[in-house]
This record gives sequence, C-alpha cells and structure tokens, in this order.
Amino acid sequence: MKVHREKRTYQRFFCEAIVSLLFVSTLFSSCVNDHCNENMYAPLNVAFYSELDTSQQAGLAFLLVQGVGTDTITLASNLTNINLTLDANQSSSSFAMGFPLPEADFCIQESENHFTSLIDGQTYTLKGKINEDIYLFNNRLEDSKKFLSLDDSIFIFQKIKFDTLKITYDRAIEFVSAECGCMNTYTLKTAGFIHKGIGETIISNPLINSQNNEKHIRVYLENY
Amino acid sequence: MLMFSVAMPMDAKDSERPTKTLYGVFVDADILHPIFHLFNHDRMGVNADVQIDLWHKLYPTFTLGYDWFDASDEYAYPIAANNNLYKVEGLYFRVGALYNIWKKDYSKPLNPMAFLGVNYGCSPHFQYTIENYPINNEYWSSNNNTFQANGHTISHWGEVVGGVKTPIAKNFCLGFEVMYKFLLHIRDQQSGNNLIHQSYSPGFGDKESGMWGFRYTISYFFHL
Repeated sequence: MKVHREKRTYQRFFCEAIVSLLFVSTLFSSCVNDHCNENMYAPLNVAFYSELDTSQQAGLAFLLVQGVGTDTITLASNLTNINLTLDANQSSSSFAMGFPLPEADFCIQESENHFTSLIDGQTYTLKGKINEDIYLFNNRLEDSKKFLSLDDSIFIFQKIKFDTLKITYDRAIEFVSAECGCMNTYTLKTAGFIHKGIGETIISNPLINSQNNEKHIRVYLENY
Repeated sequence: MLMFSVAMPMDAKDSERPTKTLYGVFVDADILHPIFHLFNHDRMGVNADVQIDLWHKLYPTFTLGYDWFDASDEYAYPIAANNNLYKVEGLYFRVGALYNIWKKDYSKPLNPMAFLGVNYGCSPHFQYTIENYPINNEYWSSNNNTFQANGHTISHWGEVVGGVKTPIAKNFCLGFEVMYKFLLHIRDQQSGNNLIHQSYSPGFGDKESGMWGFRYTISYFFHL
C-alpha cells in the first residue's frame, strides 16, 4: 500500500515538473542573436614611408584625399597612414591626393581675420560644392598657395603636390552572418600614381578582409 | 537479436532486477515546436524519435526532425528597412543514448524515469536562402547593390540531455527534455569569389545563442 502511494506521488511530481518546465522552455526557445558584434568595414590601409630611409614611416603634416567621382574630401592631419574605401561596384578605384611637401603649411580661414589650425591626428570629412576655380586637384604639381572653399571656411595650403593613386583589385563579398550582413573584401592587383613626383608604391599585403591595422600599400615618398 | 532475447537470471524479485534485456520501444513526438509555430509563424519544426528500452536503464535514441526558419524579422536589427531575407530549412537527425537514473520497478513495463544522455546531431544538407542584403558602397555611390545567394550546406553539433518522462495512460507517456548544445561545425560555402557563413542550422538553432533546446514529448511505448 505504501509502495503504491509512493509511486503515485512520484508520478504526480513528474507530471507537475513536466508541465512547469513547458512554461520555462517558452522563455528560451526563441533565442536568436540579433545584434552584430563584428566590425564590418575592411579598409585599404595606405602607409607612408621615407624614400631616403625605407625603414622609417614618414609623418605627413596633412593629406587631402578624394575618391575620384565622389563629393567627399577627407582631410587628415599629422598622419603616417590612412584608411581608404574601395569602390565595391568597380574593379578599380582612383583617389586624388594632395601631399604636403616638407615644410608645407596649412590653415583654415573661418572668417576674414580668423585662422585656425587642424587638430593633430584628426580626420575631417568635408562635403560640399567645390569651387572649381581654386580647387585644383588636376593641377597636380603646383606647390604654390592653394585654396579650398568648403563648409563656409577657406582651407589654405602651401607647398602641396597633387597626384592620383589608382588601384585595381578583385572584389568579393563575405556574408558574415544574418545579423551583420555582407562585408566587402578585396584582393589587390596593382597600385600606383598616375604621374611621377610623389613616390613609389608597393603592395605589401594584397588581401583586404578585416580591420586589423594591416598595411596593404606602402608609399615611399620622395623628399621625405 | 540474440542479445535481446536472452532473459536475465531470475534470482531476485521481479521488481528489483531486470527480467529481460529488451522491454520495448518508445516512439516520441515533440509537441513543443508545433505549439510555438502557432505563436510564431516565422519558424516551424517537427521532430520525433525512437528510444529502445534496454533493461529500463539504457535508451539508445534516434531522432529525425525538420526545421524551417525565416529569420528575416529576428535578425534584421541593423538593416530592417531593406526587406532582407535569411531563411534556412532542412532535415536533421540525432543519435545518442540516455541513461535512466531514477529508481526502477522491473515488474512494471512503464515507470517514471529521469534521464541523462548525450547526442550527436547533424543536418546534412540544409538549404539556405539569402536575399536583398545590402552591399555597402556608401562612399562611392548612393545606390547600394544587394546580395543574393542560396545553396546547401552541412552542420554538426553535440548535445548533453537531461529530462523526465512519466506514464499518463496505458502505454502513453509525457516527457520533457532539456538539451545543452554545442556547435561542432557549420561548413562555410564558397560561391564564386564570395564566402557565405551561416547563422542558423536546423536542429541546432542560432549559431551564437542556440545552446539550449527543449522537447516536450508525447510517447507511445511498444512492448516487446
């Protein structure tokens, strides 16, 4: 009799436990990871070196970069390398670049009598209508004073050289995950300046598939 | 066959010692996932298993299931506006064994049981469909392309299982299982130049947060 009662107790315990666990399970069963924790930007890193001492990275007072065909100008200051974004719809990208000569100077005229300097290490992304009369990326070897009128400020450059860096590559897409989506990855084929006078380029790492501070292209600058 | 037909020695009470090797076969159907489908139409799953009752102690199991999961809404956290689709579906199976740790009454064909066990799971040829995931090219163009892909791949995982099961009527049992799952591998697919990782596998769930699984079962016991 006691055994029979004990067994019924067990069965009741099991039934209650099973029904309770059903409700617990509903709390967990629809779990998905819906946040992307991956860095989805794989930039091309261009590093600058001195042609005179190829083991030393060259520090540039500033650098102007514009993807040819875009309306975005990146103005970076006090840098030794820069990240560029390749065109995911094409097999080549060209970047107009303004390099400072040694002892180049640069300032921003915000009003008639108000001039400011760039903050060291800061990258400015400028968008606006470029004044074609004074913004002369095509006039690549001028080292006289240049003006760039953007965002109600006038950027004044002295001793600056312009050239266009052309890069060709194979493009691929990495579908990272459902929550992160697609990342563009590239394998570099060629890289070089269209005109002479800036320096030599070498592809040091052709594979661009993550943001891990790898240097993909090395530019050995003349006069540095 | 010989092993299953050999009776155990009868030198103890029937209730304390197994009287034969093969007591019967459970056929379980999971009702938890069809219930979830009533509340969440983006996912549907069915599975059933066969458990062989050896000595009321050891239960070799084989599970066959099918999962269909449209993850578009759940994964669309950063890119919800693009009508992107990520869907997987396919068959999977599990093989393993459970061990009954509860007190046994060998005079009865069915007893309440609590069990622990391990499983190996595999979805050998599940299908994935990826549509309308944007390919970011914002720097160069305001018109982003989208990524589409579909194909088949394979996943493997392991499980540690715990659960309870109790008779509720003649030959019928109610059961609940909790599974801790660990992913062994989901094969990445190369599609042309593109590389595709999966976020979800039938039978396993979300790659990042699918560690816990649940089954709520109705079983029928076939006496042998």
